[in-house]
Amino acid sequence: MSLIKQLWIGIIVMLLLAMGGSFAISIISAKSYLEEQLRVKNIDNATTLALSMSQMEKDPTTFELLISAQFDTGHYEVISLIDPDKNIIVSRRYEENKNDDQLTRVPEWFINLVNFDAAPGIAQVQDGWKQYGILLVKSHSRYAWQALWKSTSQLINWFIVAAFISGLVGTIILKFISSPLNTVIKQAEAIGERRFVTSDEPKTTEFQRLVRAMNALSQSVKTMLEKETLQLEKLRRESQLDSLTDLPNRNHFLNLLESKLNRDDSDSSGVIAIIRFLNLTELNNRLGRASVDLALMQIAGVLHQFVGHYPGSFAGRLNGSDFMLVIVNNPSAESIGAELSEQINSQLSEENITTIQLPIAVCTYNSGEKRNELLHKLDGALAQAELKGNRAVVIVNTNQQLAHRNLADWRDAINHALQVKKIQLAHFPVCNSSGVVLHYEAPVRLLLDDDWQPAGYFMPWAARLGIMPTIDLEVIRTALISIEKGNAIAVNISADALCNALFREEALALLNQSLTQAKGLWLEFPESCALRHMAELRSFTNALRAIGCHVGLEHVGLEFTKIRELQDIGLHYLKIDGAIVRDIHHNIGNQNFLSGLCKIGHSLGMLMIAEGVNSIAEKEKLLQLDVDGLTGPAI
Amino acid sequence: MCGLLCFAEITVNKLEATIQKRFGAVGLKKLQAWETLLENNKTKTTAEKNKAVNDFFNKNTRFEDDINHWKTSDYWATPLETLGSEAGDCEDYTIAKYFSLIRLGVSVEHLRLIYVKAQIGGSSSKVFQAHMVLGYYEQPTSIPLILDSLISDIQTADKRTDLHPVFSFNSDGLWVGNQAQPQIDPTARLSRWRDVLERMKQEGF
Repeated sequence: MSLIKQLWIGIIVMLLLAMGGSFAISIISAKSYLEEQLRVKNIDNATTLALSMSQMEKDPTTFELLISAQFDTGHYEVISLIDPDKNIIVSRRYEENKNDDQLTRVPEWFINLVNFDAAPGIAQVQDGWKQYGILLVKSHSRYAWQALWKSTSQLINWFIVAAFISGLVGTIILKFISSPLNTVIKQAEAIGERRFVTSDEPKTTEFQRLVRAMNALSQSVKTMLEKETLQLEKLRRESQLDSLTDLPNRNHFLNLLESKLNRDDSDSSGVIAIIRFLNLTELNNRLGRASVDLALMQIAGVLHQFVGHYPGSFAGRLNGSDFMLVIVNNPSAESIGAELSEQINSQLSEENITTIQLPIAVCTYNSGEKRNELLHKLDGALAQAELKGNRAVVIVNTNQQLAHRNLADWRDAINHALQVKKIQLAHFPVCNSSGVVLHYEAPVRLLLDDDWQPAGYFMPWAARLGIMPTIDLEVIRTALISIEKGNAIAVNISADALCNALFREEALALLNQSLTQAKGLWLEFPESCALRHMAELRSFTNALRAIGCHVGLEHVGLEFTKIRELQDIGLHYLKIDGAIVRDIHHNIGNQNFLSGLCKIGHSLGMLMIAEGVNSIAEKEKLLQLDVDGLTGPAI
Repeated sequence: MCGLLCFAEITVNKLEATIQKRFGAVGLKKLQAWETLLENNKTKTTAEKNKAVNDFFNKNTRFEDDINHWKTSDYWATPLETLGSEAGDCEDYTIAKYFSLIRLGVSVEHLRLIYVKAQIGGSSSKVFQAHMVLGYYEQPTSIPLILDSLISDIQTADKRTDLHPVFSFNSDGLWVGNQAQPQIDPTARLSRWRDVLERMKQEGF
């Protein structure tokens, strides 16, 4: 039985005791009071009447008149004068009148229940020395009954009102008691699900202590996480970043690029630029190392600005003199080239380092392009820029001549494909260490230009058109149908969709309609959502968990150490970005980083899955590092 | 039967305890004398009972006004108080005799406490005094015998030309002898007659 129910029973029992008790006492005391009053009246009236009769002529007619007068003007049930031989001389008795006002009638059951009777008053009538008779007077008890009934019914009415008020007050009190209880229960359940949330301490002392203890637990998990994250950040800096400029080092940059190129989503096409500090050695000798380092850091500063400005983009320092910048999702190489050149020039002229020769080459790339081919193309362009000399910019625009030229055409084509259900999900297995399929990763395919096109083909346009939520909703719908056939399916949900309230609402409605299938659905969001859209991610995750879906983050690792409060979202799994997984068996730094990542993830009860596993060697190393699941070409 | 005897024993003990407490050994002796009187006359005729009771109180009780005796203008003493203090005024005599006779088994309907106007100092006297006597009615319609504290003999009412009856009463409807559980009734105290009855219950009658 619930606590609230028990408290209610307690309240009701208390009320019944208090009210029933006072009710009984008030009836009993009123009853005995009225009884006594009637008795006193009987005795007094009998004595008074007998006294006057004793002094009078003993004439029956006079006595009859006297008794009648007393009876008719008073409130009596019976007045009798009885002679010493027990014969009635005069008697008047009240006869119940059928016309008595119904309203003044007292219910029969009440009379039977309370049942009181006032003794009659008896007095002697004297005729000189001789006894004349006995006078018996009994007042009518109807008035007493009415008074008692009236006070009783008033009491009952008040009790009904009081019970109602008590109910109201009780409800408020119970609400007051139970509202912190609900908080406590919710927190305890959250911790049970490894969501280490903290709650406000309630005012009730016992709950306060409980919540304080649970908060302490959550806090210690948070502290542990922060410590581990810090450690991880240190590892990452050591293994992935260039120590001078804080940009990714050659190895890491190339891994990132490769991962981007292989990726099957909206980030898969963009612009890549290379900047070469041509006369580095010469300036080193002429100006000294410090000045050159300053110049390098200024260039890096510009690149950091770009990365901050374009979400999803990244830069790197390939060697002493070469910098590279990748801007995703922006097809205009010209504008990027111009902007880059202008920013670097203004930065360097500010510091009066004008003698630096800084050729720049920019070219576009598309999903599926080979890394080496792309770098080769870029090298060619850079060679041209070097030939031009000084700070020349060379742009190579290799954008494919796409079938859909403008936004309106794209919109029509994508919407049409969605309307006629020309949508498919690819199936890539995600396996655990023993080779059992955890789920199938299912990127979307749309039938466009008479072919099933991967996400990279249309997503940049869909993102720009703002129809990602529509596509993602269609993906969920398709996935649910696919799950009916058996396997668990993981689908990617874009940040656009996550931030769209209508999408969240419709997605939850859709999932609620097919709860059985929803249990087999894994939804994953880009890692950046945990940084930029924490509130939406948290609430949507909670709703999805309630339905039974698995929720995770994909492409995790690059910004992982910036994520705060991972402990209270309640994610089921993390998919580690291919850039970290690439050549893991050779990269001690990434091994340490990944191992730390897995440690944190496991302590929060999450599955750790590696993306883009390319070789058996990688796979074996990853399993050694305690990764739970693997996906990629080698799987 | 045994239960009744035991019960009678207890009430006597309670009376004795009460009088011992209030009037000491002297009072107790009087009570015992009274109890002996009742014991000896239990089986006698009514006339003998009347005479014994009348003589007992007329001899053992000194007449004294309430204002001197109880420091109150009018006080109705219980039989126990009359016995214990060995004094009383006319109603105290009458009450004591009334309840003694009831104890001896005389029925309530034969007895009346009668307010009378007493002519003091002969038939031509103009001095009248409020007085109370006990009347015994052999038959409901007969002339009563008068047990009076002014004279020692019991005479029929018609012989008592110095007394003029005004009003009579008894404990019919009010007094049930040997009540086990005396009810505490606050309003009873307001009536002198019921007050005496209540106090008697508490004393153990």
